[in-house]
Amino acid sequence: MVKAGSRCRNRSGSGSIALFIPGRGRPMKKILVVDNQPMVLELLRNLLAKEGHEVRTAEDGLSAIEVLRSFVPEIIFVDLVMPNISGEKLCRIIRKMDHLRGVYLVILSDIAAEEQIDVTEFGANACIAKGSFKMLARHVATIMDLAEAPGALEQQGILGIEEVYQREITKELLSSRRHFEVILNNMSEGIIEATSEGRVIFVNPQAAALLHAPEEELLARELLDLFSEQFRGPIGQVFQAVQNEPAALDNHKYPLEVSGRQVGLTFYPVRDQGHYSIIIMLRDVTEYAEAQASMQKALDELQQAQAVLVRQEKLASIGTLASGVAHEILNPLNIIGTIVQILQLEERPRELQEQLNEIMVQIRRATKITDNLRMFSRQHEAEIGEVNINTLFDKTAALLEHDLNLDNIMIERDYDPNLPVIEADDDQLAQVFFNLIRNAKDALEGREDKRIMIHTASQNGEVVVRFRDTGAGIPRAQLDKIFDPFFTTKDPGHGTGLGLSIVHSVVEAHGGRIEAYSQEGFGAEFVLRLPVRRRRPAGEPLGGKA
Amino acid sequence: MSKKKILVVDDEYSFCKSLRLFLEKSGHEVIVATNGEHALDIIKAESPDLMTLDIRMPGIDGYEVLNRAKRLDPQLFIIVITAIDLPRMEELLEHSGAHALIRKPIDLMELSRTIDKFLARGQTEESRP
Repeated sequence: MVKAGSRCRNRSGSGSIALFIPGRGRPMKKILVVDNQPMVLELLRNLLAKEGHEVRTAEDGLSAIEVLRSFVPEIIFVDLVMPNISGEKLCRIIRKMDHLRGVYLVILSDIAAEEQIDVTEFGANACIAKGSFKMLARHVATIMDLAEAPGALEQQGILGIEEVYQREITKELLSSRRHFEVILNNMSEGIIEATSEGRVIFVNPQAAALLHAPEEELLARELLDLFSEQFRGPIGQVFQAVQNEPAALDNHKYPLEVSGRQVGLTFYPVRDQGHYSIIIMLRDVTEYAEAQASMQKALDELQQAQAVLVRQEKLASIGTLASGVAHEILNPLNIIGTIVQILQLEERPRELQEQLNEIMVQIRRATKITDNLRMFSRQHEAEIGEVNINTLFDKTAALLEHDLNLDNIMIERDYDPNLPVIEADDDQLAQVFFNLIRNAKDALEGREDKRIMIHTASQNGEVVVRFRDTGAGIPRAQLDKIFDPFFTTKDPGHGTGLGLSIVHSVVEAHGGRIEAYSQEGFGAEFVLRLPVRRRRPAGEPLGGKA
Repeated sequence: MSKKKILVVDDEYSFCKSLRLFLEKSGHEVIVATNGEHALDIIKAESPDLMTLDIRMPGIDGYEVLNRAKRLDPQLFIIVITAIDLPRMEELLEHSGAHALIRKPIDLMELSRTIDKFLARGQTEESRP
C-alpha cells in the first residue's frame, strides 16, 4: 500500500498550485521532463520552475537524448508510453550514460492500472501513475521531497496507483502489443525502425545480434553509421527513395556484409498520424549465398565434365569409324597397287612407266594417311608401362638416324641423368618423338645451322622435355593452330597434318601438357610436361577409360 | 629357282587373281581360295609348299585357319598378308604363329624376297618383313 508523503500540504484549490514556499531553503535542482503530451510538459514545467528549479522538457526519446548531450539533470521524469523510443528504452539508454550516474529516474505511467511493471528492472527509481493532473502535481511534489533522502524513493510503490482504474481498450492494446513483441523478439529476421531523418528508434534482438551491439547502443544512432562505409551510399539511396512502396537493397550489386554475415535489407515505409518512419528488415542470407555459389560451381564443373564427355564420345566414334574405314580402304589400295606393280614388271614406254610410278607414290601416301588416322583414333587404348624418356628418345631418334645423317642434322642431348621413369605408353610416346623429330627435320631443310636440341628434367612430379630446332620457326599467326588436326603448311603430298595433333592428343591423354614457342627466323621449341604418376587428362570425369 | 606350289588365300578375289598372275610369272604353281574352309580342304588335298593368308577374313577366323593348317601340315610355310599398322606388326607376327608377315598394300618385291628366303633355307623360318 502506498504511503502518501508527509510534509506540509497546502490544499489551496486555486489555479496554480504552490506546494512549497519559494526560497525555503531547498537547493535548486536541474530537472528534465520527457512526455509526449504537451499539457503534461506545461504542467510540470510550471510546477517546478515556480520552485526555482531549472526545467528542460522534451517531447520524445530522441529529443531527450539530444538535450542530455549538454544538460545534466538530477531528476528526469520519463513518460512510459511514448512513440518511437519508449520510456523504458530511454531509461536503459540513460543508465548506460556515464555522465548521468546518480540521476533519479521517475516514470510517469499511463498504464499503471493495466500493466504491473517493476520500473527498477530498467533502472528507474520510482513511478507515478498518471491520473488527474491534480493528483499528478501532488505526486510530483512528493517525489521532490523524497528526492532529498537517498534511498527513500525506491521504497515507494507506485504513487497514485489507487486513483487509476483499468480501461478495457488499453488492456486490449497492451495484450496485442505483447503478442507482437513475442514475434518481434523471436523472429529470425532483424528489424530496425528509423525516423525519416535516419535515426534509429527501434531494434529487435535479432537485429542487435546481427549488428553485434546491445540495443541501448543502437538506439538514437544514425542508421547509416551502423553499416560499413562502402555500403552507406547505396543504403542511403534506397532509404531516401522509399516513399510509398517497400524497396530492397540489390544484394547482387551490393553484397552487404554485417559482422561477417551476408545480409539482405528490405525497407518498408510506415505512415502514422503525420509521422513517417521506415522499418528495415535484415535477413541473414549467408547460407543462401554460399549455397548459390557452390551450386554455380557444381554446375560449372558438371558442364565442363559434360563437354569432356561429349568430346570423348566424338573421338571414340571417330576412332571406331576411322579404324574400320582405314582397314576397308587398304584392301582396294592393295589391289590397285598389286595390279600396277604387275604392269611395271614389263618394259613400258617411259611416260607410262612414270605414270605407273606416280600411282604407287599416291598409294603409299594414302596408306600413310590411313595409318595416321588409325594411330590418331587409338588414343584411348593406351598400354601403360614404365618409360624412361631419355632412352625412349634415343631409340626413336635411332630409327631416323640414317635420314638425319644424310641431311647433316645434329642432335644435341642435355639429359637429366636422374630422370625418373614415368607411367606411360611407350609406343605412343615413341610416336610423339618420331613426329617431332620428323617435323624438325623438315623445318631444317635449307638452313645453315641444322641442330635439334633436347633437354630433359624433372620438376614437381613431372618430367619436362624441351625439344628445339634451329629451323625457320613458326609464324605467330599459326602458332595456335599447329596442333589442329589436318593443319599443315606443307604442300599436298608432303604431310598429312596429323603429326602434331597426334602429339598433342597423346600428351593430353597422359594427363600432360604441351606448349609451342617460336621466334621466326630462329626456330621452334616444344615444351612437354608429362606426369610421373599417371594422371587423368584435365577435366576427364572419373570412370573414363584408362 | 625351283617351282613351288603356292596356296593364295584372301576373301578379295581380285587380289588373289593379281597375286596368281605375279607368282605364275615367277614360275610357281598357284591355287586360290577365298575362304578358310576351302583353304584347309586344299591343304589336305594338294599339300602346297607355301600359303599366303589374310588373318582378317569373314567367316572362319583367320587364326583358326592358321592353327589348323599348321597341324595339318607342319612343313607348310605360311606368310600372313594383312592390312595392319606398323606398331602392331611385331605383336601380330608373334601371336599368329605365322612364319612371315607382309603388310597391305603389298610390295610385290618384298613378297618375292620372302619366298626366295624360304626357298633358300628350304624350310620354315622366322622372317621379318
